[in-house]
Amino acid sequence: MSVEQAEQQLRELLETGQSISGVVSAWMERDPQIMAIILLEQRVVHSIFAEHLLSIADQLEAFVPPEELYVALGKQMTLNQPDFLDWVLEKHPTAFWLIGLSKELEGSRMGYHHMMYKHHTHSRDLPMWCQHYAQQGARDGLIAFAQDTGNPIPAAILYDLKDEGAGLEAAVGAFIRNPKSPVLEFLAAKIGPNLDEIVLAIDAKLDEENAPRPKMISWWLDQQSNG
Amino acid sequence: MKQQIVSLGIVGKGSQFPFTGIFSAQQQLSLGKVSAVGRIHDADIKRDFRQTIQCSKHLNMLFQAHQGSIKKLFRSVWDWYHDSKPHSQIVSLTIQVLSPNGDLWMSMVGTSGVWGLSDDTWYPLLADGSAVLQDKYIAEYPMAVQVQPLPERILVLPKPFQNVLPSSIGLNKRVFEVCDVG
Repeated sequence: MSVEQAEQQLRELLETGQSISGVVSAWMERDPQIMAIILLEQRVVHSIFAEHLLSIADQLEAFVPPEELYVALGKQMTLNQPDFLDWVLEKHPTAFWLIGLSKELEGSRMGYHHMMYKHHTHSRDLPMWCQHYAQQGARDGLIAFAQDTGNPIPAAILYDLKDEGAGLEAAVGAFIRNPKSPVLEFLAAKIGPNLDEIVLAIDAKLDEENAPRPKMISWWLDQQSNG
Repeated sequence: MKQQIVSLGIVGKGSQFPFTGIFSAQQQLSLGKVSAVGRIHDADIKRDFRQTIQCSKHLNMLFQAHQGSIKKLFRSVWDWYHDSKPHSQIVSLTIQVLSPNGDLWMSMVGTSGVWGLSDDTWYPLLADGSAVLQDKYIAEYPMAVQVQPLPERILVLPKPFQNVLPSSIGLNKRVFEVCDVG
């Protein structure tokens, strides 16, 4: 059977609401490359098709590189992308291709979902992943993560990468979400103790946003003024 | 004549947050450019933050208020160090004074190694068995050493790190260099 014939048969089954499991199982046994081509070239885009392929992901992984497989599946899972990403993260928690997958599926918010997942699961490797995403160019996603959780790590990492604009956004976002966020503590641990200019910039930006001055910022400023 | 610059750096731990527990100070005084760098071993990012920042601040204040010789400066730093250091902590501290005529003096406690960089080559400024690295005191104070010839950079390895320079990647990621803060 050619790819075109398989594609046609699949379309007919999906359009008439019939089960595709029998034909897909048969193709997977006889010629699994057909399924790979239909998926990777996005010849059939249908939620039932995608859900079914997800259920046989282990088999597909045997002959499709996982990054390509999950990028292709992710494109089909537009309605359930967050659940899909959670599913992939649970299945492959340490795979570096997750960064490429996130870039493909989340675009400019690359890294956001993965960071939220790490945050909710209290993962000790969150800083390492944040570093990898930042080095791969993630900015909006990491800032949004800081804004939504108060996590101080994106600010520290972005400042360390000399992106002061993004670092400032992340620091201010973290403080607005949680005035007790240990932003200054993590900045000192990442880039060193000379934070005067950064603290002044954060304080000015918080003031612009009409946000209350965090206690640690007050403490820092008191230290300087007492000197 | 333009004063020479010898940057002072310290090696932090090999982790995502290498500069935890590191403090520093630098001031330009009439006796020369005074720099200090230190590290509280096993510091916690959050718990020990205020202590490390206050160490930087106190050193800067002490430098700013100083009048007198290099020896007096070293002694006042060591008096402060012994008064303020908790017994339970390993705290490394190195002070460096580069005088206007180019003499470089150092005094240190809790240091496992000191290296200099010249012509792109790192070399030990003190031998492993040096009394300075063993924290031996003279008249109740840590010893002072003069460094000649002047290296371009000086790098301190704090105790309990071994006296081994990190790889070139480590040097990029784990070295904190003192800069003007006062």
